[in-house]
Amino acid sequence: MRAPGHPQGCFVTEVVIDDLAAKIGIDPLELRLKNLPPEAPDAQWGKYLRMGAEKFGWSKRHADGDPRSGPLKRGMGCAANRWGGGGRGTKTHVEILSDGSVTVRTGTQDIGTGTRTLIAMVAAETLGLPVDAIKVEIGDSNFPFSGGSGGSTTAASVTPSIRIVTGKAFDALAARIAPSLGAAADQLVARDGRITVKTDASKRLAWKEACKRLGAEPVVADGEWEPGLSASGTSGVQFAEVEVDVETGIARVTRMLCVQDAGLIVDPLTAESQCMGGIIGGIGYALFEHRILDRNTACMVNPNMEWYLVAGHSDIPQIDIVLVDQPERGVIGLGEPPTVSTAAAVTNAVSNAIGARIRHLPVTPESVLAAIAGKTGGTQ
Amino acid sequence: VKPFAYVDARNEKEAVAALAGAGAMALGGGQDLLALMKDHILEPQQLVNVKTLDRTIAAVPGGGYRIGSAVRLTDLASHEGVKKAYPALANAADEVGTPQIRNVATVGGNICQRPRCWYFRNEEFHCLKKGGRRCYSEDGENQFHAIFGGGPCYIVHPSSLAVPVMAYDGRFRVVGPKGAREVAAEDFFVLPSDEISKENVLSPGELVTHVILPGTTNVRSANYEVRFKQSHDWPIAMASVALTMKGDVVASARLVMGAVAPVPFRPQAAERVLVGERITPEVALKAGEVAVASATPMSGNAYKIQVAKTAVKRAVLLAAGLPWA
Repeated sequence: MRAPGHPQGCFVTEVVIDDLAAKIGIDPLELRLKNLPPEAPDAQWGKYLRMGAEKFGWSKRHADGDPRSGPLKRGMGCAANRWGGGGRGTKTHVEILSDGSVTVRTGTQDIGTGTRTLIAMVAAETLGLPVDAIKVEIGDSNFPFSGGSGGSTTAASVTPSIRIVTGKAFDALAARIAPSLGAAADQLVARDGRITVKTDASKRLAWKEACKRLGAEPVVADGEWEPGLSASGTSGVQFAEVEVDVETGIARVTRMLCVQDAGLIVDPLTAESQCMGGIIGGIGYALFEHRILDRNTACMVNPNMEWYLVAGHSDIPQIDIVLVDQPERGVIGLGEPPTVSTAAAVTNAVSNAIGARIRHLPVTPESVLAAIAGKTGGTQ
Repeated sequence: VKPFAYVDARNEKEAVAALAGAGAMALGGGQDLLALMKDHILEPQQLVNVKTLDRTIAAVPGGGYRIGSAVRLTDLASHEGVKKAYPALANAADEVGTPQIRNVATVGGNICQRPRCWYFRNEEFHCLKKGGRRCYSEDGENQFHAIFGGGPCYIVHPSSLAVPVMAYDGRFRVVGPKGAREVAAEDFFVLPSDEISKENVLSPGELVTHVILPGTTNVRSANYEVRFKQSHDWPIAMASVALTMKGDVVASARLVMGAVAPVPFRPQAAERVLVGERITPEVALKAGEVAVASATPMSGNAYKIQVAKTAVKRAVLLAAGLPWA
């Protein structure tokens, strides 16, 4: 499970909030809005809940217990999340050679989240080059130190370092070629594959032409992460719609909406992908994942993918993602936040569908049928 | 996995000869057998490839079909003749595992696969079925175990195809050292109270070569399966029903439930509920209720009664062409 402890903490908090709302007869969204802490850059739940409710169609939500006849009942639920993230020391080495090639090297790794892509994007933007002009070298502990990929800290640790050191490399390059452009080094900018004099756009060199002037001695820059380009603290909310078969107890997620901030969004594509992955994992946590221990021997009886279930393609619903960009805050990690509130939102939606409270994960057919039969679900 | 010999049987004769060897086992798609070997549940000395045997689906003159054991589930599920004459069977085949599994798994392998009980499949538990002294599910984790016919072992029958085959009153053709014979599906599977170490009547060295299905004139049939996940999961309960109609009245009915008993389970009292009736939601519900009336749940699987009841009800409704929701 990603975000260890947090989906669990969110579940017990957000399910109890819905229990309370049901008990006092108030819309659970309204109860949340009335009791939110003051807004802060990393506490935007009120704004996101309103935005999400509008987009998700929360006004169509019925009171607990779908009144329609037939075995298939629909319901909606929501839950909020927060996470820390934040950056820390990452060292980077950048080389610009006379053939125009750029190598960026750091000891981080890409565990499938797109770190390699982010590094290339930040370096490319800093040097005014296309992304494929950057050679990214990572995943080797002989490279300059970077931290482990955990705690949703990678993007906020790595991208500031890349930005700073690539900037240093450009400054060094500018100092070497400024005389041939008849300008001061600090008057040069890198843009659209060219180096241009800020005050006189007619004075410019194509990137490769500029680099040729380096001759045999490349530009080399080393440096590390500094505070200022990253921050910590995210907020987000999720909405779930489910369909529950009250004759079999099978619950299916039909729709999810995620409203999520993570500071400056470096790459919307990989950021959305992180939200998708977090939600899919969260659906598994809500409906399927269950480590079953034999009560007499403590031996796990389902230590395989046959009986330890995770969501497959057909279990994954439509997922809509609204990323909230906060460029003024700098880069904040996004790996774990989107998985925190999925199970809570799904469970609240199941309770709304069947009109009985569910207080256990995963939401198995057995627990749904028990909740319907007893109208309680779990401990009263 | 322990080393083993491998024999490519080119025909039934070669297969029977090779299966007579010590520790020999038939290999179809390997979806069950290789997992059993990797989990150290079985350690065959010789695998006999039988995918080379009959893999055709053929209409029998005068009615009925003959399906080779080596037919892949994908081909069974997508066969137009099967879909038309035996929709419950086509559906059950289509619901198995994933496309990748169905692309290699065979009809014979599905029928003869070993139980999925997590105690049987775990080498740490020396259970009754493996020659041990007790069934660990009895006072253990039994949420997926039998609600009918259990004891002293509480497995549920794993084959999804066996359920509709029995509903259609199908037969299996079997070859072995003593020649060929046919066994009704109804008589093929055995309860643990009769035979603890195996799940069917096959003798050592015997092999299922064909499923033989009677014609389905005036038969309306359907299959309904309930799973946690939409795909790649085992059913909690399933039901196949074949109704022989006289006009819109049920003249005779065969109802079989899967994943609820150590064998495909035929609740005959529920069949009697259907006979002489026009199918309505009330009749279907009544059949479901009667089908589970004799259930004897364990400590953790009483919920399966409700699921099985629903599977029966919906299979009956689907067979009659009525919506279940």
